[in-house]
Amino acid sequence: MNYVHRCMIVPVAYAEAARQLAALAAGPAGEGMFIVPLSADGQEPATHYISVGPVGEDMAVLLESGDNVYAAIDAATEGNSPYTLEQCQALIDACDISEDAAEVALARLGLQVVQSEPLA
Amino acid sequence: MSIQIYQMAPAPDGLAGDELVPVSQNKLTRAVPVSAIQQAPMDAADAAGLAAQQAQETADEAGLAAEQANTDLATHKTSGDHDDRYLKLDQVVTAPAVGKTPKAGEAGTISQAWIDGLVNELKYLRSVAENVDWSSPMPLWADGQDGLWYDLPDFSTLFQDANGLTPVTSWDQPVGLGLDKHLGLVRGPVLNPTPGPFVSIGEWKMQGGTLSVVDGKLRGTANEGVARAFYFDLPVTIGTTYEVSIEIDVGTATAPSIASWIGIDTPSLTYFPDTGTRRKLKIIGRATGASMRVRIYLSTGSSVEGAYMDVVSTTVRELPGHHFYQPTTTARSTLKQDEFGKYYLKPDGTDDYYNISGNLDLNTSLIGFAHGALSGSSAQSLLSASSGSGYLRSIGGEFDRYTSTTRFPSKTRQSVLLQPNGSGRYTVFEDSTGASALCGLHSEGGLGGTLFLGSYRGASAMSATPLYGLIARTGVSTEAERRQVLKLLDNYLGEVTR
Repeated sequence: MNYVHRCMIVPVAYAEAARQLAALAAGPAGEGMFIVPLSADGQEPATHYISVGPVGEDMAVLLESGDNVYAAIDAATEGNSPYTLEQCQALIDACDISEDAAEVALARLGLQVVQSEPLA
Repeated sequence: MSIQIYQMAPAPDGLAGDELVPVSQNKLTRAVPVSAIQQAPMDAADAAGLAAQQAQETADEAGLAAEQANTDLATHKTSGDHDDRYLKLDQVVTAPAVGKTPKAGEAGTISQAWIDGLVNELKYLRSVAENVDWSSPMPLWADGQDGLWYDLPDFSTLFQDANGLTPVTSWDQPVGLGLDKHLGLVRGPVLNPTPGPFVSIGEWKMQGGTLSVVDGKLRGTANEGVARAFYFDLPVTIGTTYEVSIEIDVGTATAPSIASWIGIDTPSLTYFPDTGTRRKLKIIGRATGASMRVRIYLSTGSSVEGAYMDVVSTTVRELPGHHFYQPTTTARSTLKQDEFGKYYLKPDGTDDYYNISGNLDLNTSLIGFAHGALSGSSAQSLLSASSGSGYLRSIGGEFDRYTSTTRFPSKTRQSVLLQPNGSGRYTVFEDSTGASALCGLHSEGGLGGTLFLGSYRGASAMSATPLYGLIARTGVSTEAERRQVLKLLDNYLGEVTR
């Protein structure tokens, strides 16, 4: 497996769908994505979520279009995709997917990580 | 052939690797790491024919560089215990001036005796480098104490994925699994009752076909119809790490290169990497249920009646230890190499972190880690637990545990030990240069249970700190043990900020 770098930022309205689709398409490798919240001032509430780092080349192909995502989900669920083609296309259209480092993408979009001090 | 004195030429982080270049091309600005000398191409026989002109040019360059190197040595060497790891350049090249310095194209005046002396000096230094005992921390756990040891320079312990399918072969690759070496990577006994060679089918079953034993192998012959597979179930312990090894002969089956799993955190389908008649697959995963099912497909589609495949052997063993792993690809750190040739994990500081397998209580323990520069003003968690209230964090370039009243300043390259002082609410921090501090703990919950490396419970406070090595051992430690851990960790760094 070869890996390529991708930075993916998804609006909060699509975050749950993005998590589910990533897990469906990639299995364990796609689970646990989009857990880091973002906002313009670094304060809650979050407006976006980010995942950044290496993805398999096959995953990178999926991210190129909603059609690819839908096809992968449809195959993985043996024709029982919980999302329509239109929903997959809307998700990809709403996401910012780039080869940028996180700080570059965040600066470009005017976002920063929401820093929440863990409560003990 | 010629002989050259080599040094490590630093490269920008993440752009290119270090390379050895002759000192004549790049003036030394620091002491020469032993590792660099080890890698220098030297051959005594070839060296005997060394051209005098080149030797003198090298000596001239080295002589100038040695002065600088010795000056810098005072500020760059590691702790006093480690002076022998850095060789002053005037030890490398003891160049007695013999006559005048020859110019290019001019007959040299360096004697053969001087060349022989230089060669002998280099041979000696090479033998020193090859025989340095960096000491293993294994005695720390000799009495059965729990703990962990992450040895990043040992690539045999690193994999790009979380299931041990793709090994790490070089820096700049993601790390999805790192094996804990504190138990010596010794696998447990074979857990499945009938692993092969086969004299009976034992616990094996088959979906849509029949099983038989042929020449010590387990043969599955398919009925016509849907996908057919061998499988067996095995009771396992949730959270424990297992290694499954499968060896098959493909026979006449149509698509016999896929295994699938239930009850273990692996991809649902795993392809055999081989394409020949005999195919092998080894996978590592953590049990997610009380039972594991190992399944090997003859085909993923409809089977042809009479098609067969043989299982040569299949073993399931426990892989003891507290291994770090990250199934999510985007949350994996990258293995990097620094300007000193040392390897480290570089998290992106955004969403990278690791789970640590199994439960480990580090509340009364020796914890040591080698790290690079801390960054960021916000809190970053270096170690945290799924339960308990304490966690080890950095904030503003200092270490503490939530919420300390005293913090321990960090340095650019540092080996740090943490050890509870017995009160349960305080932890002693110290580094290899002798700096120390007593930091207060927020509560007695601390670091026990399921641990996370580089985040607070896998959810926030992601660390951006480069990690060169991590060692932990439960129980009270001696001064000698602490020195040993710091020494090993310093070796991961190569050079330590004083």
